[in-house]
Amino acid sequence: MSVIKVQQVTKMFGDFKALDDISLSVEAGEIFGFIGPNGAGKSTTIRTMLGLLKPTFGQIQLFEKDAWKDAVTIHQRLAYVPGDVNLWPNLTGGETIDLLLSMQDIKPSAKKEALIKRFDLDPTKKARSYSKGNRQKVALIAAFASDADLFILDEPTAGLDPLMERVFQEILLELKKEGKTILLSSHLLAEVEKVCDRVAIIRQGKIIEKGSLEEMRHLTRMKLIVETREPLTDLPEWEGVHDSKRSENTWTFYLDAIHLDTVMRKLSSRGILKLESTPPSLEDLFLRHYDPVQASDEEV
Amino acid sequence: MKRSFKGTKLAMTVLVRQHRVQAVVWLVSLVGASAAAAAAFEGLSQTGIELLGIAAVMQNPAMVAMLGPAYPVERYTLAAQFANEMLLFTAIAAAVMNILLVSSFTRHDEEEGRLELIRSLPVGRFAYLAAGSLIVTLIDVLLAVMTGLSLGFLGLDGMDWNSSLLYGALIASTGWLFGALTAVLSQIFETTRGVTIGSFAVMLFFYLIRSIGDVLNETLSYFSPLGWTVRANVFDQNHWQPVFILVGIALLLFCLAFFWNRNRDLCAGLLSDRKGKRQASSFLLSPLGLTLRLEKGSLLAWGTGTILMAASFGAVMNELETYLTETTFIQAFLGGEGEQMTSQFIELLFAILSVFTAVPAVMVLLKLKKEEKRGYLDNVYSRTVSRSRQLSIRLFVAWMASNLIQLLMVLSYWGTAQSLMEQPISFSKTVSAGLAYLPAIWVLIGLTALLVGAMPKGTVLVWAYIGFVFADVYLGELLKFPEWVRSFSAFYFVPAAYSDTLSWLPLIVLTVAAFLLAGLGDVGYRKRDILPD
Repeated sequence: MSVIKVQQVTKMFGDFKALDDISLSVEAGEIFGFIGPNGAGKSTTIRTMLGLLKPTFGQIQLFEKDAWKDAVTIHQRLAYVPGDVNLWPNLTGGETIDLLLSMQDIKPSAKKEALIKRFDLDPTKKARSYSKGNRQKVALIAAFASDADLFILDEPTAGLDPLMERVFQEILLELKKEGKTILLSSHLLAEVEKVCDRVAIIRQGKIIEKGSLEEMRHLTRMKLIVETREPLTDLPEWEGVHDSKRSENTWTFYLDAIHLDTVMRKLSSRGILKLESTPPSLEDLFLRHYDPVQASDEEV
Repeated sequence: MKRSFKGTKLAMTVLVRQHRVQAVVWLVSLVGASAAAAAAFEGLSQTGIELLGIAAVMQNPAMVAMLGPAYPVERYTLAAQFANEMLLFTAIAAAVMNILLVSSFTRHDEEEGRLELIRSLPVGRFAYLAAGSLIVTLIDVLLAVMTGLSLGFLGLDGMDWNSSLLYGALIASTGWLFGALTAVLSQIFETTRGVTIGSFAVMLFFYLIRSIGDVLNETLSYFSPLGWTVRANVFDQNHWQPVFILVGIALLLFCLAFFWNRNRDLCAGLLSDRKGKRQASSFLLSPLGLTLRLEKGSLLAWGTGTILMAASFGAVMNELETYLTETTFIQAFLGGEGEQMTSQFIELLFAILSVFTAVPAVMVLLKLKKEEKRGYLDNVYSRTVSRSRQLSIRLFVAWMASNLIQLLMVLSYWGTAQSLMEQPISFSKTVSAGLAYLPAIWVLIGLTALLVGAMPKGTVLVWAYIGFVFADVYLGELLKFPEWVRSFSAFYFVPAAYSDTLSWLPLIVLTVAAFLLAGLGDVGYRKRDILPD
């Protein structure tokens, strides 16, 4: 069952098209990574899912209910951590957590206390004096202490230190074991790679890539370092070869995964002395899609 | 020392860029209000005897408490009447401008973290405070010159260049003093709200001791800057000394602000926060809990201010009584109309105080937009809270607060008047005269709900509307505003309940209008995007 189903959603702010015909679905029990550069439309997509923004065209369903009309009902089963956590400045962290939980009719429990310990938060301080990371902890604790089935987390680790980041990832995997569904928007590719089952990449309001991490790796390029007996003078012209650099007889280049077979045949005919390959990382994928120069090259 | 001020110019550019619209709107409205009022006074073409009548009314202690000492009847020119009616309230408006501008130039930018960014640049410690102080000074100089010039050109009977410029200087220097006071309080309080509430409280305090001093004991008035403002006797004796004193004290206050600024950390105040609770109380978790917790400070501050003002006006009622029975001149002039003078004063006073009652209620609703812009509402609407619920909670708090403040205001007025007067004013008439304003106050609340719900970009219009309502209440009758203009003010329809029998129809119509406005606001609010800045 799709927990989140976004169908051809377009969102206009005046003349500006913030989201352009976006479709994606998140299945029950998976951790879905949502990545993209600043201003690409990640938060706008998420805010539309929450019924805070009304789609100009298209439809969003959460738990098979309309995200705009049935927002209140849907939110009984959902927990959200905003990218920019803003809290009432003169409430303490502890008060805020209790208050946020009460907005979902949840009584403060031992779970909450355990989370406060785990995230090492001082709940007696006023929100005014919290750093970004501490405000994020407040929102994370309030979300994780709820009994939601779906967690929507918008760049939740941007202000956390590495120790807390690890705590966060542990909790994500625990939730996954419990069968919860998680939408994680992030800049940290290592994090997405570590925990996500599937990802979607958004750029300038459009989804430009989506699929499982495995599928993504197929789409991407691997980095090869090769030394051959016969010189490879014509390598830069081979199909699927990018960014090739030569030092004496050693070539370093990027190769489209789909051309791996043909290139390997050609290479072995020249007599391979050394071959190193680095698996494609999301990092490369990210850079390839986000670098405006490279991206426009691609389209030509 | 010089290095401490390095970058002042840069900081000024930043501040001007951020606040230029706000500053221009304030300047234009303040200068415009003085010029328009003066022009309207000129068009009154009163006969000498009418002017004499007004002069006599101004002598009565209640009016003295409200507006400051009256001008001598024998030298009561049109210009004197203008100063009598306009000077104190315009000076207070200038003070409000100064308080709001200075608090946003100083503590607000610090609280929001913008100052941190500036201070990380090669910019001196004092640059930002110096820039804010300079800009507000510049605005006040412009205010003085522009007001002075526009009055000088209009030249009512009794105005010359010297006195017109003095009038402008009085308004601006009074405002500037409160700007300086705000700069000091910005060093003491950690939040913008603390700074503005503190500054307004001090202003109210000075207004009240001037009121009491002007009626009972002049020495007391000399402890209030507002007392000096009205003692310049502009358009009659034209004393410039009060301007120099105001400017001198303001300079001292600015020095104090710099001195305290030097020795504190960024974002810290001289009064700082205590540790708070680990857990939310059941009060905070109750439906109205959060809103009441967030708003109690400003509701209490405004409510107390309004009630205190009512009480002190009640306290001068016996002076009015004595005045009416003792002054044979007045009795001859008014005939048996002493009673009417009392009722007119009560109705005017309640109209003005009702505007003050409406202000905190309107602010409770405007906070809903502020919370949205700051992103607090993302926490709320991503949970099982509907928009209608949140709006209706705010509406309910605003409505209850206005009812309570208005009731206490009327009771405190009646209570002090009752305890001091020989022939007390009627309880039932006083209460119905005060409560008759409630439906009109609800219209202001409804209008705010409509703007917040359906037209969030235009919420500032509610302040423009309240400004208009106040101007109509205060001057509409005197300056003979055309009927159709006056009919835009909700307060215009409030029946005179003290002098007349109460007519219910307008009250019902106003109530229905208030509900309609709020309902439309709710419809709009459910349909629109929730967007933080």
